[in-house]
Amino acid sequence: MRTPSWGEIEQFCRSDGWDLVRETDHSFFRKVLADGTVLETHSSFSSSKTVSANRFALILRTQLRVSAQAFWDTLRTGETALRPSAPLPDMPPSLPAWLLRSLKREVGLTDDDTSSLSEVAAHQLLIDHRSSPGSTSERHPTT
Amino acid sequence: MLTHMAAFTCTDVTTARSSLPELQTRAVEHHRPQMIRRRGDADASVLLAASDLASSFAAFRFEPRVFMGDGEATASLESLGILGMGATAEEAVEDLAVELRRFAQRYFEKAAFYRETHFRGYLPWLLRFAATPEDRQVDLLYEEPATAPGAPASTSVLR
Repeated sequence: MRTPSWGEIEQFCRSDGWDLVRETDHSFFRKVLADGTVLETHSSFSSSKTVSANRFALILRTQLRVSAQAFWDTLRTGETALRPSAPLPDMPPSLPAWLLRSLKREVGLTDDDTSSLSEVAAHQLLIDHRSSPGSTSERHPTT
Repeated sequence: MLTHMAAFTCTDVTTARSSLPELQTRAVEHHRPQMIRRRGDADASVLLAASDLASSFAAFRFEPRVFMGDGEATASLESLGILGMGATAEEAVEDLAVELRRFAQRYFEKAAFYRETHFRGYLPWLLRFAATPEDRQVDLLYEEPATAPGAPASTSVLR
């Protein structure tokens, strides 16, 4: 997937009619859709750095709410993106934060080890570890 | 003037001005919420210990997801459209906590705006997060599904 720089994401926001909101320690872009949905995204990253494919998919899906095609069309034409914009990118593979941390702390896995695990496999690994006779793992209190 | 309405002790706002320390003590040390009213129930507010507020919403659990790859990590609360980024999963979740704190601050500062948007329904999670001490907010993002004794029987999960 072709990926943009942070500067191109800012350019998208400007072309798509987002407002730049400045706060004390940071700033962000905001757009209010006709149905009352509020979209917000950062504007404080290094503008020349390229965004990775996974992050770009996440930003499109969770913040900009447009497809990759609509994103590049808006950059090219300078016109507002049409929403709903289908298809939004699929979510990249991921794990719940608590599960990832438990696998690292209790099972001893690394970030690299967990990056290719499905959620089902990750759950099973943790269950197996916690139920093994030699396991001394305890759930870490979180609150 | 103190009055009693339903379960709460009610104080009119004039009295509350001069007795705020006492009301604070009742709310925090004795865990007795204090209702303060100016004219009637319509403009009543409640003084409540922050820890009681946070624990009241214990059933509203965060479950951010973490995306690994390309030597970086991104944590996401998709419902709120908030992302945290870092080189490791821990850094990404820490960054997510910072971004969630910023969002909660502006949510409550611009409450009149946000309550008219689709974010209105997320008030319980944001109250819980905001009422939790800052150095423990990130722990909320690592909470396991509740199975411990005393945990809420059912939870509402924000991903």
